[in-house]
Amino acid sequence: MKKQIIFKILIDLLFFALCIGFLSTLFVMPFGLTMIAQESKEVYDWSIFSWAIFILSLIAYIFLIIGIKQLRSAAKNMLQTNSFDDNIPKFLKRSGNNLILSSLLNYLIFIITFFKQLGLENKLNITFDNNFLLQMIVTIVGLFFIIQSNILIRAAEFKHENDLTI
Amino acid sequence: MGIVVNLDVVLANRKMKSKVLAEKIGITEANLSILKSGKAKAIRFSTLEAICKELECQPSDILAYQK
Repeated sequence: MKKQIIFKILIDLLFFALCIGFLSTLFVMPFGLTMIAQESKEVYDWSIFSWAIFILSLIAYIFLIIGIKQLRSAAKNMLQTNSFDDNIPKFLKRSGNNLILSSLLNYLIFIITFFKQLGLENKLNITFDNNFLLQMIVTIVGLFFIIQSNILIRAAEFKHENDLTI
Repeated sequence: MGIVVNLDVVLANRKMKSKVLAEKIGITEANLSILKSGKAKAIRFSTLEAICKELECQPSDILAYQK
């Protein structure tokens, strides 16, 4: 039970941190106070390409927030009801799908920026990128949630069958 | 139809109430009701043995297959 409570608290913190990050990006951006990692330029100097990357990143971020929100709902259900509640696999599956979508969009951003740099600099730079590995972890976690939700559905079926064994 | 449970018929023949049988074989009345109504997914050999012992009958008296 203690682990479940800690899990719920951590998920809540992560969710609110992500929401604050998203809102601050939206509200700070129009004032031209931020820069993006791909190009260290003020917002006013951004090219269409930079804006496209920014919008893609924002969409990926939204998918990540939705994924964490679904995970939050799953954790809430886990605390309030038992682990065999019908809603938990549903929330876990949705969370997994959103996390995978988010990471896929981030892969797309990596590919686009890689080819852009290749086109501009005309040389191949192979670098070790921690962000790429982080996205791989997000994909793996997303897939694990989907697998876990299927396992939970089967576990609930087994429990139901066991309950009706006299 | 599949497997049907004739426990209520056997109980009526023995003039025994469900509550009494449930107490004697050590299961709850609710579980016995699930068994009688045919909602049960499975029955343990130990439960079947206890029912047969108390009602002095064969498993075939309680369970039957219907097409």
